[in-house]
Amino acid sequence: MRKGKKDDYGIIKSKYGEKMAQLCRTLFPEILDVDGLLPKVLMDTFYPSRDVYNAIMYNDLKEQFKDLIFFKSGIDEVVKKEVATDKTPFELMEEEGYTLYECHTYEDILEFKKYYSYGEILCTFDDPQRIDECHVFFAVKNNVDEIKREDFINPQREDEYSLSVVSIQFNRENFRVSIKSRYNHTVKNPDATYGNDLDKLAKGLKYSFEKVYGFKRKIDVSEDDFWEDYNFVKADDGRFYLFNHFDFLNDIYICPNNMIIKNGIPKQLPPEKFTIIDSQYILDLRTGQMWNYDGKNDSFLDTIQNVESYKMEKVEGGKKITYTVKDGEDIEIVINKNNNIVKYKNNNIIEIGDRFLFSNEELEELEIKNVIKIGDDFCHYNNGLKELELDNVLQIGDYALTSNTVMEKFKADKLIKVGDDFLCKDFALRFLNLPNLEKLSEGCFYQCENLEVLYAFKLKKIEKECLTYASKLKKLYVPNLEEIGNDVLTYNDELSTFFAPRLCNIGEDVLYCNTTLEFADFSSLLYCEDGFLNNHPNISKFSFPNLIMCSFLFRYLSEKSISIFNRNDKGDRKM
Amino acid sequence: MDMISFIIESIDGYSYILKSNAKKIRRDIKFYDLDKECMPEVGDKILVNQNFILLESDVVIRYGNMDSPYGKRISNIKDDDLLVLIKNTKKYYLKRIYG
Repeated sequence: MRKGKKDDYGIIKSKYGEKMAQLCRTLFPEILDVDGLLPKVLMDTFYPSRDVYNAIMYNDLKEQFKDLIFFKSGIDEVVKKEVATDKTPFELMEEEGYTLYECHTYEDILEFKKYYSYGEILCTFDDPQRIDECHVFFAVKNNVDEIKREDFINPQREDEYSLSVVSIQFNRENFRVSIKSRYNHTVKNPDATYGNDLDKLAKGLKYSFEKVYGFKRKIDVSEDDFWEDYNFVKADDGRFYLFNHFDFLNDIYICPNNMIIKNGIPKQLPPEKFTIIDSQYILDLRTGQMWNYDGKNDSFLDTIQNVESYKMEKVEGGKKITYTVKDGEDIEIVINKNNNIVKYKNNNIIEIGDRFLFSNEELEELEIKNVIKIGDDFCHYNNGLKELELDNVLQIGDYALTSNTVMEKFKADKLIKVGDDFLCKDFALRFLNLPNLEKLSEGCFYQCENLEVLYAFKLKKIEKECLTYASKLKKLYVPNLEEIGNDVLTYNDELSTFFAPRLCNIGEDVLYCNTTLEFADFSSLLYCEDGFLNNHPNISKFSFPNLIMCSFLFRYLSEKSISIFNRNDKGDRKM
Repeated sequence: MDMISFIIESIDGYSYILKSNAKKIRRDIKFYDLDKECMPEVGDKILVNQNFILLESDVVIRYGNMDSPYGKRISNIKDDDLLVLIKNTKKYYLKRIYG
């Protein structure tokens, strides 16, 4: 390598990390031919940080990054041979085991609706104008009939089922592409499968669409708006800064490496004096005092009281902050290398307010043994806690742990009341014992698809949309249950025994899909809405001695009539 | 994440200019299956999660009714996918739809 190139590589490595330097060497050989140009363009465009590389790769922004740097450098890019294919999109997809179809009419689009599961239909199929707005393609795997939805119990956007049928749509105005998952909204960002990188479906596919159809995305990557969409903010110095947290109305952006941008002015807090934790709390390293970047208090800071001394030490994977408190146990906070809280221990508190660690996603261990009451939005965005024991908690507010999909073990023996949407997206929970729980509020355990056992001896009421997707629940022990709301256990098809002798009221579509129920006690049932046991092959085997009225009664009575009729069909046709 | 209120400053096709305090953003938004009286108009307000700002500015963001089968179940008022349309004093709750 010429000396100039070697120097440039070294500068980029020191400012942005080795991975970025390697990426630049791959992407910008033409710019590296001009001594000193590439480091200058990079540093004029992006504030130096190793996180820039991570953000570009995570958001699949290599192409856009390349376009921006070439644009800023004023040097033209040479299209690389390995992507400059002569093959058509149809040929490239065929090589990957797909058949690619181009749709010309709304009717063409409707031909593909059959591939999508109930509850996962694309809105494309209900949008006759889509064909005017977009060029629409569907790619169908040749072995699509072997790929069954029921085999995928933990949907992922790039798993085999998701990719077995993809809709590829190009906006007719700007040729922006959207690769749509077969799961649709069951997964996050379903309209951006593979980050909308066509080359991940088939190498050279992006170039092929450009060459054959002229679908070259019309964007100006130099526009600030574009990069802001990916957590880069342009400050007054003209550079893009990656941010972790932002406050739009107050124009404050919290960036890695202690950088805060307020009203466009970047300011770095001296790293020897301060650290920013969880992208919002400023920790004074000398005194241990912690405050919110906006100066306001919150429920997390409220739990740190009566501090007598503080220390910070390195531990594996990060640092541990220990507060010694007056007449109490030490409070421990462990932060990882990104300065996010991963462990919190505080056995001095008995009550936690609203929005405790609301934005924190990475907390993995939480010990709060003496807490009795928890407010709303508790660990709302958390997706790191796999186990949680709340030994003394009696009450949890609304929207707690709403984003958690990984909780395998939850123990709260004294819990009496829990608010809306508790653990509503947890795919990992299999067993639940809540011996003192009296009410499940709306949406609790909504998507707990793998829950197999629920024991809740004192449970009296299950509000609507609880356990809706608990399709695998086999054992349900709720002997004191009196009322079930709409859409409870709608998709369950495993429950064989339902012992609820006090149950009076059943809402709509309860156990709608169930075909396995064998033994049930409905002796107290008075009212029942439509859809109850709708798919059950033999509802007449159950007894409803006190049923007053309901929509499904007609079907029930019809079946009873038929069975009575058949019983008497040897000449004595009594009804 | 907190909710932010925008006023619809202008509508050109499905390109909306939204204003909040002194800040303006442009987003392409399409609304599906809405009754005529709840179609957004200039001067109406919308309330969205702060993450709405981070949505890509050149993608069409689609919204439909809360019971639309093309979007996820909305878990709470601060959900990323929720949009509250305020026309005079009336509120209409819409959710993001996909596909």
